[in-house]
Amino acid sequence: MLYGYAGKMLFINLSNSSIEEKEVTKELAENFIGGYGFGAKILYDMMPAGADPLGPENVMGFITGPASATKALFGARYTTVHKSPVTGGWNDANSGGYFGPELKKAGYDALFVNGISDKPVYIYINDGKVEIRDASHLWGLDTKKVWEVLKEETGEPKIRVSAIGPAGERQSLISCPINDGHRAPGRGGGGAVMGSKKLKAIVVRGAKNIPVAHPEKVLEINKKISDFMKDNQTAYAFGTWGTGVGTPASALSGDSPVKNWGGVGIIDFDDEKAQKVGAVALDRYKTKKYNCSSCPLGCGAEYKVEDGRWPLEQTERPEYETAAAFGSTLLCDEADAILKCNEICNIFGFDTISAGMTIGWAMEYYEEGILSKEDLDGIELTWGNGKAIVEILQKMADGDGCGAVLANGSEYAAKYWNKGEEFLQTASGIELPMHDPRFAPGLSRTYKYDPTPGRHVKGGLGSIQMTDHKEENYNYDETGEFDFQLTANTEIMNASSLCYFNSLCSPPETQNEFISAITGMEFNDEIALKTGHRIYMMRHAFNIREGIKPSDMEISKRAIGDPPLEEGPLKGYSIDVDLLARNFFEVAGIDFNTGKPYRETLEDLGHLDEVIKDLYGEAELV
Amino acid sequence: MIIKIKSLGLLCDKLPHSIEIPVGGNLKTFKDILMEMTDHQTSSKLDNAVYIVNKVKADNETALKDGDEVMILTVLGGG
Repeated sequence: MLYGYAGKMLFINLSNSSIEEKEVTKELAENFIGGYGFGAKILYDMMPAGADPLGPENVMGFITGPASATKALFGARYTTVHKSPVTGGWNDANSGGYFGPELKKAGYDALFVNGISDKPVYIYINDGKVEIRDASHLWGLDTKKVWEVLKEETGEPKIRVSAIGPAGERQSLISCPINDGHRAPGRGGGGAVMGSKKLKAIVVRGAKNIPVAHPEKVLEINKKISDFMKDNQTAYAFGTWGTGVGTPASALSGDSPVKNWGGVGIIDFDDEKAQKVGAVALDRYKTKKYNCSSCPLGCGAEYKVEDGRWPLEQTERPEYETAAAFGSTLLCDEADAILKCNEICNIFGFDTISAGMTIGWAMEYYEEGILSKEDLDGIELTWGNGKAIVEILQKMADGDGCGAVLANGSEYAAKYWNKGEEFLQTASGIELPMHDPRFAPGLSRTYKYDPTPGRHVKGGLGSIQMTDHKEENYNYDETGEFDFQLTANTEIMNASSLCYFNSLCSPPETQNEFISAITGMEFNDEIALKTGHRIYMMRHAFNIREGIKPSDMEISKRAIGDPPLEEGPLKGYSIDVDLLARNFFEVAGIDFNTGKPYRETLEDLGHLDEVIKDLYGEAELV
Repeated sequence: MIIKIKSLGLLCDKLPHSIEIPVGGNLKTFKDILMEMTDHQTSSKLDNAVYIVNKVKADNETALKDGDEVMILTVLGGG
């Protein structure tokens, strides 16, 4: 028996409506754990190189991990995987809520969808029964509305739904599915992939009990975490106000980008402005707390907004990334505008980071006099202008005029209008998230060179430098080993379905302890490092097969202090991202110039035979 | 002399609004006195915080005068 897993994966081809189940093998579970570990292995095997990201050969996966639906605290996450229509390479994104555990309780550890339907459909999975149902009547509905309609239609009030809104239907490159009304695997264009398949939603309902190897041990670990959290200040702050409690401190310290990455918080977005958009201030609208499945923290909240220009009967607390993307990035301190933007993104299905950053790019260009008022359909997109920000975002949501261009992200817009490329704040086309590498230099390596560029939740040195800002972080000697260990550890976290906040609010050993207790596998630090390395290598190999080498990967100059800021807390800092990368790749066993993993590294990691064959040829295999 | 405190981030509601430090003290003096008043976990966060004095990033040698405001920024990771 395989403990910690439902034991089955579902494969659906929408071109021919085929539905197939496959077993989760012990080999897959032991060596790739789950989440994007499974995803990278399966997609590498299933997809040909060169597949069109918006074509039938692209596979979109929704994958849980062993911590999901097993009573393990923090075990709510699931991952989406696909080839990105933005980068043309590997993409994974992560979300919380209740959808992931419900998919597993419905009988499947993972769902993989390829092909293209000839009409809009949704996939309905109810306790192991799988149907592809017509969604023509749902096309055009926002993500909250579609959830309500589907509850009615299925007769199941407790269904969980991951759905695209109109943005994904139009295949906006910055769109994403939204689950549970406001949680999102946001990055990399997953909404466009679903839209290209005419896949409106995945609907799940289940009651399966997932077998756990040592359930009493899981409860012990839960108790250890609960006791630890009682006196933990990070847990207290996140649990009380969510991640938005950090918005003002990040804006002023240099952690957040300001004014499209060209400004300085304490000068351009002072403490009076910054505090207006922090969660401590915004929580005046809070009606109740929101916890994801099995989460002891509860960083979410529901809001009701009765004042301001855009009252909202029921909405959600913006997460830090959202508050910064529509706040300091745009010099906007208008809380009502930020709340409205969060709601638009949730119901139309946009990645809030990319949406805010795309507007920031357009805003700078408008202020520079390069984009005209006519280019922006008469909208005066000036710094901090909340009304204009909401107007332009609504146009993006509606696919209207200039909004239809901007809805594909800043890089697309720059190419479309044939101007503005020099001020893009992206990594290989992905808009940068809300943590500045000039503040936490390790982030530069992750943003530029991770198989999914432009991500702040992929571990590495940057993940600890964000909360431990000091001069020695700018010393790049011998960074490789620790940078790699932290990255491998995060691969395991993401593969296991554990939330990032488990790593911030729990004793560090609990991640491996959970995996051991749930699956019955031996899982110590050494095994975790090797398994994390293997998962990283699988994601990297996907890109190499697509012809994406490290030398092809780019990051905007501002993000690495080229040139450095001339004032503020980050004055004078420039980051040697390539030295950080060389150090990292040396430990990872990858040639920095070609991106090719060394054969001996692949052989040592094991279970990567297809990668070895593709890179080194069949004839060389013994 | 009285130094005002504005704490944002992780310790937003954990610190006093002001403390008294000896005349001629600098940021290090301020931090040492403040850390004496807090528990170990808070002290550790204070050690890693970013300090802004009168709107300018400060280091341990930054001189303080009566009525100065020290902004203590404790950045949270992730999110």
